[in-house]
Amino acid sequence: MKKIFFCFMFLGFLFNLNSQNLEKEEVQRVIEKFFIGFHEKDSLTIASTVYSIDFKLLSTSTAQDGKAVLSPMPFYSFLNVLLQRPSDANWKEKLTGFEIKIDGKLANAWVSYEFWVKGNFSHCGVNSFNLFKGDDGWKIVTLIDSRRIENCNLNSLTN
Amino acid sequence: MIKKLLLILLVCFSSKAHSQIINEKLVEKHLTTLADDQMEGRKAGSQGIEMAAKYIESEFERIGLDKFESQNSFRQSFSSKDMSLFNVIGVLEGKSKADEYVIISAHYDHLGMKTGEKGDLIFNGANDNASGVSAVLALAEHYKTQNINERSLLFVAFTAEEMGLIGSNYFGKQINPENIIAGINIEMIGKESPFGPKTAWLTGFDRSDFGQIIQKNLEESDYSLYPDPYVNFRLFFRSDNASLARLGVPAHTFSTSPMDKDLDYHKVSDETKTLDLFTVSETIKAIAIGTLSIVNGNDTPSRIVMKKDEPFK
Ligand SMILES: [Zn+2]
Repeated sequence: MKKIFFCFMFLGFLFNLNSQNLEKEEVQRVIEKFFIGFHEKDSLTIASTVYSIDFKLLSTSTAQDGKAVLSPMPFYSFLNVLLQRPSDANWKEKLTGFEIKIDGKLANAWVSYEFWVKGNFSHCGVNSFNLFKGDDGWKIVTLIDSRRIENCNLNSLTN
Repeated sequence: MIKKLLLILLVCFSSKAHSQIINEKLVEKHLTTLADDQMEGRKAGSQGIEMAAKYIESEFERIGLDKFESQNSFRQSFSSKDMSLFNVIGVLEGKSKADEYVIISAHYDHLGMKTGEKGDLIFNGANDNASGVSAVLALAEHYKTQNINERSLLFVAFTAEEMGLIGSNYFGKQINPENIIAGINIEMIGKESPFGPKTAWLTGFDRSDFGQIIQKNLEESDYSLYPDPYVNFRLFFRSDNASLARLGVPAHTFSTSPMDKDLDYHKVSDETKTLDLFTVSETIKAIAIGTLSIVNGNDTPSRIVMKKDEPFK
């Protein structure tokens, strides 16, 4: 009897693990879709991945004088820059790693990246996404990134 | 202290006036009248459009607008393609810069009626473009009440847009474009934008700094404006703003329409009941806030330069 009970426990655990993985895949798919929109200058695709009214974009960096800076960017400014980018600008944000954590309706994704412009390496860093799962699935609520040029150990050079 | 109190009172009253004039009730009245079956789809040259013009004239009269170039009618009549056509124009003279004009426009014609079929035959054109005309009328009433326009405002309902921007083209030939500071054109603001509630998009965003002026003015509000996401549709060339933009005027079109998903576009189902009054009235309020610095003479958007080989459509 005890054996059967543990079997069910274990099955339940596996099932849980599996649905967690499906959720993680879903979160990753939303983030990848955001970057498809980013690369194709398609603001509708981007808009479909964000929780539009409350979407927050912030960037962390270090100023010339060594001071740490947190700069917010309105969503419309982000889209202005995106759409006004010349078509030959050839920006490429390569996503090099995903770490996703989920609790209920909240997800956090830690996504490392390399940024390339016209085939030349520009900088690397991390995009930290917060997502919320509402009636129409996972949507990005905040995106905070870091940018640096040191310690980038360029993964994509090798592939 | 008394000064402070007076200031607070003034702020209260002006913000009250602001929210009172542009509201869903007023918008609904304009919309239901203009998109009524009686107007038979407001086709240029038809009886239906005559009724629509009469309504716009009577509203201009009620609001207390002046006539364009001291004529005796709000109508700017002309003929084209064997039809007698008319734009409807109302004027609110500027307080200190009366010879600088800002145009607030929308086309009021639509497709008319279907023939040889049964069922609903009327293209009501509630979103396209009774919603835009409702905005022009509401903004006229708003600015008349506010009495803050340093520049002169021309409220224009264009005819025969659907036949190829005929009304706005004619209008463009009657004015000196150098005196026109900006063109605020409004098309299809009755459905929630693809960017979410309280957002709109603007055509030809990067052709002048008009859009960025609007975005700056909206910063303190909870409404935001985005560049036109449907670049491949070439909408900048397909509405009346194009007739003015060709002359160098920074003239752009505001819209909220989800163009890729709108099943009622150019269908008989484009009726008032498919529209969201909240979207219409919030968008009109946002246009008022967003264009204020242009209307009161503080901002002058950069001119539009068209390339010579740019196709008309
Ligand atoms: Zn239209």
